[in-house]
Amino acid sequence: MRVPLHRAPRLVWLVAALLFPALGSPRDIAFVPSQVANRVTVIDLDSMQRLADIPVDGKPAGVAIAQQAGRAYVTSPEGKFVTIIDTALRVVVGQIEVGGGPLGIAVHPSGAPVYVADWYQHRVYAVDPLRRLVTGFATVGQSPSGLAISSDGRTLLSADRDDDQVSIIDTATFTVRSVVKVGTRPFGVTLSADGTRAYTANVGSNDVTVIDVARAEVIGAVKVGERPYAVALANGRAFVSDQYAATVSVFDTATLANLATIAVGDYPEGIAAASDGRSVLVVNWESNTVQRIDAETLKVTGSAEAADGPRGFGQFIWRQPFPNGCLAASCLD
Amino acid sequence: MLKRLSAVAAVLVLLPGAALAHGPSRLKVTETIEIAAPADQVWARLAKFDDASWIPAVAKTIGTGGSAVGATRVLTLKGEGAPTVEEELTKIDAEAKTLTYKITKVDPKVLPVNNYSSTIKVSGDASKSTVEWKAGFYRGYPNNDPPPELNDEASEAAVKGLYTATLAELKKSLEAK
Repeated sequence: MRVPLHRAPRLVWLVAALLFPALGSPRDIAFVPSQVANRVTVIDLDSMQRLADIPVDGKPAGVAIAQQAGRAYVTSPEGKFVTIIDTALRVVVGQIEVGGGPLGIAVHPSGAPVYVADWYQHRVYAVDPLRRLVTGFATVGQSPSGLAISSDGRTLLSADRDDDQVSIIDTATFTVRSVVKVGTRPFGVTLSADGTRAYTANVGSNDVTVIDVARAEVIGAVKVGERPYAVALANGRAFVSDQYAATVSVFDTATLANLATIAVGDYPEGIAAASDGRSVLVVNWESNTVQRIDAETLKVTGSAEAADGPRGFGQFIWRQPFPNGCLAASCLD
Repeated sequence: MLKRLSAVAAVLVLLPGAALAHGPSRLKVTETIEIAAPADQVWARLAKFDDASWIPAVAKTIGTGGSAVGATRVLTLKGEGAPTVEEELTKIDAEAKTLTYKITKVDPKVLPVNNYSSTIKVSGDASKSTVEWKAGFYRGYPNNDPPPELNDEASEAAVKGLYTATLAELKKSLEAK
């Protein structure tokens, strides 16, 4: 029987790793939608080497990763579809028509469903990635942009940009449980690992709103640089990409005190934490670069080129289990 | 009732939020030109935020705040109805010879863009220079399925046209000296 590499039980791989060190150690790989170039740029985040540029049409912008399944789901707002990429093979394996203006995207920790925010229809769709169908939708506020899902998969958050609010969605019933008013024009939304706190980057008020998710209440707001786009969490800190300021603002998530303002490339947009939490990756739309920031020293420690107009809106990092392992299922024959 | 409500909602979306609403695909235009003039001289011509007379389409500039970050200007354009564009300086670095500004108010019929930000950079030496002019913006129509005159291609063509014509004129005037 052929067992796809990424579906094999963990123990098998543990044994395999001991027997065959040449399989390599796990590493983080970024899948960054580059909207102007109609490409998804693949970057090895350990070496900061650009590995591939995968053609994806329709002005790709948003991305979510199904870690276990080894899939990247990429939204194309102009093309009105979601593209499915096999992260090990780095090839497009399918496309799902969604309609409207798909932008923000998140995937349930189990690998399905995939949730897609429709900027124009003011809905969040549930998409079955295997049948490649939209199976339902939840009506949210105006122009939902960023999505975030809790690690238990029960709670989905939508930043409803033009209603200055976050919708908290119960995924079991797929309805909005509560709505929290935040700063002006929230774009990216990020959940803490334990799902208790959410952070929105508010483009219009140049701040980040901190939300208590269970109580559906605002805890506080933190001033950041001009035009904040998204937030990444690492090392007890929040990292905020400031588009116009060309900086990443850093604050302490416990005290909400500002810690640093890091100069990065021009027009930083997507931002995500590495899987070990030791670094943060920021995508610079204008400079066509992805930069790595040390989450402890707050210094830029590496940079890689991306195709033109990279956005990387969402969780764009895949933890590749065995990078040197066979790239095809045939190795287990 | 529901239909009427959604019609009202649609109008509301188009009205107060219009300045910040836009489609999800940000566009890029970059134009460069080589000029046979010292970089310092070229920069001097471009660095005065309250003097946009180097842009042929501009008839008049009224600036506030000089060339410091946060300075604003109102450009009155040549042509019918003397339309205006309002802009704000967001960054300037004399050493690196680069400045960035954004449009704070423009009629999409005049320039079909939203959330427009622009960066000018001068490089070179005592005899020759390169001017790079970059823009990032969303198309003129902020919603899905735009009319042809406000779609991505039209918006890109408008900015590109403005930049190439302006840079050609800049080169001519500086090399004539």
